[in-house]
Amino acid sequence: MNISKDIVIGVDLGATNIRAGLVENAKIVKYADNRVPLDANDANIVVDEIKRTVEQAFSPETKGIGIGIPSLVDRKHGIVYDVQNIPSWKEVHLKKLLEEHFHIPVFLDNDCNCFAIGERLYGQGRSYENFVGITLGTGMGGSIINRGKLILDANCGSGEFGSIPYLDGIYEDYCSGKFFKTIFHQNGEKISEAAQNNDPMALKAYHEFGKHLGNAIKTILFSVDPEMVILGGSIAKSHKYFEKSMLEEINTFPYPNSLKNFKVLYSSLENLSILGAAAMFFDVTNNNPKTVSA
Amino acid sequence: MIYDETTGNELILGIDLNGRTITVGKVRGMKLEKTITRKINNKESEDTVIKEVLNVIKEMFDKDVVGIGIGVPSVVDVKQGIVYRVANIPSWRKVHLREILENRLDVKVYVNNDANCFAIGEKYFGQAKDYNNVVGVIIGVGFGAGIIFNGHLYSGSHCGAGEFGSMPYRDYDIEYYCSEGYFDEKYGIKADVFYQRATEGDKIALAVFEQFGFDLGSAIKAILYAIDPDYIVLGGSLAKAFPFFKTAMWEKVNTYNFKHALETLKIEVSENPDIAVLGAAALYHDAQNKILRK
Repeated sequence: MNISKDIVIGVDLGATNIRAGLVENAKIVKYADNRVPLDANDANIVVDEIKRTVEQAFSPETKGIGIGIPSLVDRKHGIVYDVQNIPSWKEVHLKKLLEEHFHIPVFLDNDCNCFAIGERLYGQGRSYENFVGITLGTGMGGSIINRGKLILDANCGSGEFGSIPYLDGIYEDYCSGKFFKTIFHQNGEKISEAAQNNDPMALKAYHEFGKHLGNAIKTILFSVDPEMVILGGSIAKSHKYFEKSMLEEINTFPYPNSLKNFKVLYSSLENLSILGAAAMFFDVTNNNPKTVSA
Repeated sequence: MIYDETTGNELILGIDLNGRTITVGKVRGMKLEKTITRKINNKESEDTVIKEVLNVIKEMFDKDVVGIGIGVPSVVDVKQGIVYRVANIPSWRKVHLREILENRLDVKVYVNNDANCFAIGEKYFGQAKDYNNVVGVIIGVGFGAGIIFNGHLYSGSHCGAGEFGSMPYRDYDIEYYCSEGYFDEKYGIKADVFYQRATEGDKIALAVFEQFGFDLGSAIKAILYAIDPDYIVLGGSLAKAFPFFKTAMWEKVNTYNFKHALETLKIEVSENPDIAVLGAAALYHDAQNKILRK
């Protein structure tokens, strides 16, 4: 995929912060960061804060805006549904609101799709056409890249491998921060610190986590048979503690052919959420060449 | 419904090699002009079966044929056209089917597994014409699925995509609970007998299909989480029992988290008895990268 020279703004709407970056030639050249007004009972207060953050990162040459959102998104109509940390956001027509304000194209997608397309355009996904991006954090997100692009699925709901039944629950219960919380009564950060100090309990927790994650990856192999899976999110940073048990589990996959050349990679890009949101612009405009003039 | 102009009236042979019989269809443009079905001596040696297959193809072959598509119930290396351990033909452990046919007939040959042919057949010739993200599920001897992403067949990087049947489910896997064999194994009565009894209103048979509907609904939920298709089409021997398992299946599917997605999701039974042959022919169109334009 060619990344054009267009200057684009990527916005990451996180749990606590709105971060915007002006992206030029795969680099963030201008940056803005504001807190999400969490107690806002009017949806517009948060929208206004996004506008303000974008304005701070704006340059007159900006061709478009991409926004990553931790929720279900109607990509086609640019509507955001039920954002967890922002109770007033039940249904926000964010694309329309921002396009009316900035007069340039705005694209929305969920944060995990931004992660995957960000890796595809700027990260280790550059050498892969078919892969799956998985984010391991408070939840487990997933996104499928096919023929170098995000699949235009029916409802932006694909890649939700975390919601597939597993053991007595779903994969997300065992392959995200939830696992450490429910089984070991620790948050991810604490467990990571303890593992660094060779705490046997923490090492055991990661060992088991790796097994469960290996099973999740086997389910991904059964579903879409990708060339590789790239892991991101806070827990992926501790991969040295769970890699071994994860790979052992993956190697039990019944079709050895699918494991040939199959790789699990770990995200190493900084500011990927912003770059990924910006990448959305290129992914969408490439899918629909008519939306943007060359 | 029209293809782009280049499709024209090209003559393709679509072949359904199901192991015990072979059906060859002449497909011109959108029309299936003629089919023949012949028994094959499936227990014979590799070379003898190849010769028989070639002879049946030659009955229908003429100089106008520009390509051949062939669907085989086996693991297929789509890129190289190699079939492995073909169901019902014990001597076919590894056959370079594409190479053999291309050398003898001097036209382009495309080989794929039966579930993928089913899915692409429904996309080009069947009920899935209006949808871009489709899963075709064959519930019969096994549980096979073919995936259409963005209007094209998606086989995965090692032709292993769509193996949802191998996903763990309850104490075994999806295929165990969602294929013919389960009826026999669990109740000691063949699925066909249950079907017959269900049509006569037998309460036990109806309860058995209700349970099947719950299991199939769970399998479909896993597919929704993984792929998020707009359309699912069911084929295979068990699909005819749809009226008996439909309600239970939907009851389970309706527990899918994304209610918004359920509003538009369609699940239907394939109605075209020639879809296997048409789907094999569609392999040719898909390989030419022709996209259906409405």
